[in-house]
Amino acid sequence: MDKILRIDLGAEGGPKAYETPLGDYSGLGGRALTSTIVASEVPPTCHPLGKENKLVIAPGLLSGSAAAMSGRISIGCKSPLTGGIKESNAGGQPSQVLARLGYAAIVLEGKPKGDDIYRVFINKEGVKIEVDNTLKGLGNYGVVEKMRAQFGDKIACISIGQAGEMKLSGASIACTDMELRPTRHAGRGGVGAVMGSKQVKVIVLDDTGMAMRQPKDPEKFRKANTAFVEGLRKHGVTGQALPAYGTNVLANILNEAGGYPTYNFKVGRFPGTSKISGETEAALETERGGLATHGCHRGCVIRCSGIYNDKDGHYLTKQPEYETVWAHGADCGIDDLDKIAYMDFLDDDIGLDTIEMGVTIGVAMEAGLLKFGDADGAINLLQEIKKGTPLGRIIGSGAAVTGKVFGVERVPVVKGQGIPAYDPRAVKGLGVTYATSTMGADHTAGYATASNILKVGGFVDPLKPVGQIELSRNLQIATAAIDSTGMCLFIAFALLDQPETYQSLLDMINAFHGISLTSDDVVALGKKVLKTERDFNIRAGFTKEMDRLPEFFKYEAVPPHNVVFDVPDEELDSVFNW
Amino acid sequence: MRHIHLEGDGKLEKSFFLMLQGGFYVECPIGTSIKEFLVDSIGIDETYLAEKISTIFLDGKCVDDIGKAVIEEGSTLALSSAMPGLAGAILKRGGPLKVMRDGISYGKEEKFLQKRKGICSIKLFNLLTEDLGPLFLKSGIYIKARDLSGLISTKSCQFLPRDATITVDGKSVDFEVLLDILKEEEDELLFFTFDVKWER
Repeated sequence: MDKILRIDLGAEGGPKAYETPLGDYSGLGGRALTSTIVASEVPPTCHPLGKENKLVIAPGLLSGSAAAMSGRISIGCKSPLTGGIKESNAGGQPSQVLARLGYAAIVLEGKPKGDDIYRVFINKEGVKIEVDNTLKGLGNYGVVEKMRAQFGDKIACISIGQAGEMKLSGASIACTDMELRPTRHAGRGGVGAVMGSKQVKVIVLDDTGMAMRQPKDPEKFRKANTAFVEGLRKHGVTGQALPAYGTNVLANILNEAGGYPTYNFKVGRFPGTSKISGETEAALETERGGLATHGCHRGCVIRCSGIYNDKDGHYLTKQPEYETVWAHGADCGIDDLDKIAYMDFLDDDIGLDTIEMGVTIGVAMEAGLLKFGDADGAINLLQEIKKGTPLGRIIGSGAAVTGKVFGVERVPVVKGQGIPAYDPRAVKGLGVTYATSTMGADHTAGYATASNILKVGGFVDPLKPVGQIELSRNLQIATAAIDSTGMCLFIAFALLDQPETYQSLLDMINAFHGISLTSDDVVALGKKVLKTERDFNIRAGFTKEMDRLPEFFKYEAVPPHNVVFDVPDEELDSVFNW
Repeated sequence: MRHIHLEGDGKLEKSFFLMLQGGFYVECPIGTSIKEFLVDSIGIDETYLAEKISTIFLDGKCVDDIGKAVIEEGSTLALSSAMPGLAGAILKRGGPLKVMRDGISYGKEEKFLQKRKGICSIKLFNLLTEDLGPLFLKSGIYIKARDLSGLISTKSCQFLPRDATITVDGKSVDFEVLLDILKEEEDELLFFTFDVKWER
């Protein structure tokens, strides 16, 4: 992993692949690498769909090795949804395979002439870029089936569906899972539209003949990896709750807390929650012969995903996650798990961000386009996107655009990106992160609950009240650091509660690369990533006035607790003061 | 009020756990703390309470100090194990991130209510349904007939093992009769108990 594969789609005579050394990017992985390349090489004021934008795809620091949980892949660019920098990451197999092929990143740059679409194939022999217009108009499942027929089933694919081809701002990039299904998505920020603008439909990765990446100190690495896995397995969240019920285990408690946004953020509780909860979902999956416990990539020991079968016991989709079930469920007033699972399948196939689509359909319901609870109507809207109708293109462009077109005031977005499944009036600390994140409203931007152990910005004494601002800042720094390792963010809970598990992660990185990274270095990396991203956004024209939640959160109290978001603007402006 | 009693195996008992997430009623001592109620009245082990019941809501408010939060007539007490992600960490009782949800935390002021018998609602979530469900089902819960029929009406009589028994007010009935009763009296509250008589 000491080189970058660059593909110039706009080269004279057609797309050309070439390699460059890591150079100044040496030592970076995941989000740190994508954001640094974008900030250094992409003009901040460029059009996100233009030739000057770049799409950067980077595995993590430990991807392709035997390290557990190392299979996240980061995808970065200037976002067509937010207009700022974007890093969106996904699970699945491509991260491991790309790393074994020796690439620290793939960079798609330039823009092709004409309207051909391309298929990129990468194996140990090299890179082939070919026109394949038979892929035009296909969904992700169709694309992957064609690639399987052509290249066999030892591959991993990174692809876009119809939404990406149409360059819609809600478009995602699909990564295949262990079963070679396009179910793991870099969903947020419209990264699929940027891949569509490069006219690359699919990147096929084949690591046949390539060895697993080897650590500098195999014995220390093996011991650290063993301790890390033991730490994850013994923890109540990573060892029990997530494997048993998946991420949707959160539905019941967010609902109980009155922080489960319902009917387009009108209220904080949904009457149908027990019909769509993680507990119900897991029981249904088991009853129908699916799986309630399943990993999204090899080397995952948490296994928070699953297989969702239809009523006849046939595969319908992977286990829809908490945010997906919420977005297509409570936010739209829909309590039918089968319909929600079908929408998850459609999102994966068309290549759409499930959060953005659920939030957008909620806004459309608010506008009166369809009624809250109308599951078939919601499915029809997704089909409109697939068909590319004018209405479909509006919906596929996200909640902000849809709100403007239909004259809706209650549009839950920050920097143009839909707010996820936690009401910021009930959980105000999350509101601070939604407002100030460099990514737009993003629940994972301040997800790394390990900030206490990292001691970011000073140790947070649990016995003393500490402000929301300081905590949000620390969490965002810690998250930027973990995203840069390429590790799954779900390790965070075990890191928070078990200092020895956090130490084993550091030991693993150090043994693998032959370095001596400390907690302070990790903090410094997180700060550097955030500073780089924020600087890009400022150069792109962002101001502090964009670090705000929509106005309605300030004056519309959300039942049952009837609370508003009342963190002062001046405090929001101090999040990045360190 | 009808008393519906089932006897069967552990697998059958497990199929009733999903019902517990939606809430059920139990008799409880009004005016006592959550800790007193769970330990002294329900019989939950203190270590289990400290280590496994990580997230607690009383009337929708996140509780940090279970020794001070007091159960009132008609209160709803929701119990959960540790939860993932940032939201899970924020909602965790006594956690370092609790300030991030201060608008929905249970108040610090102490309440003094006259102690007496009353009724409260309990919700059991995730891992706790399997751990604590048997305890509540054995001692008995009050639920709406609609909630019980909602769970079993979608199932055929094969749902019950052949040797399972159903009694309504002490009289043995078959599965279809039970469904008819639940349908006819769907708005009524009933008392439900389950005994595990054998394991398979």
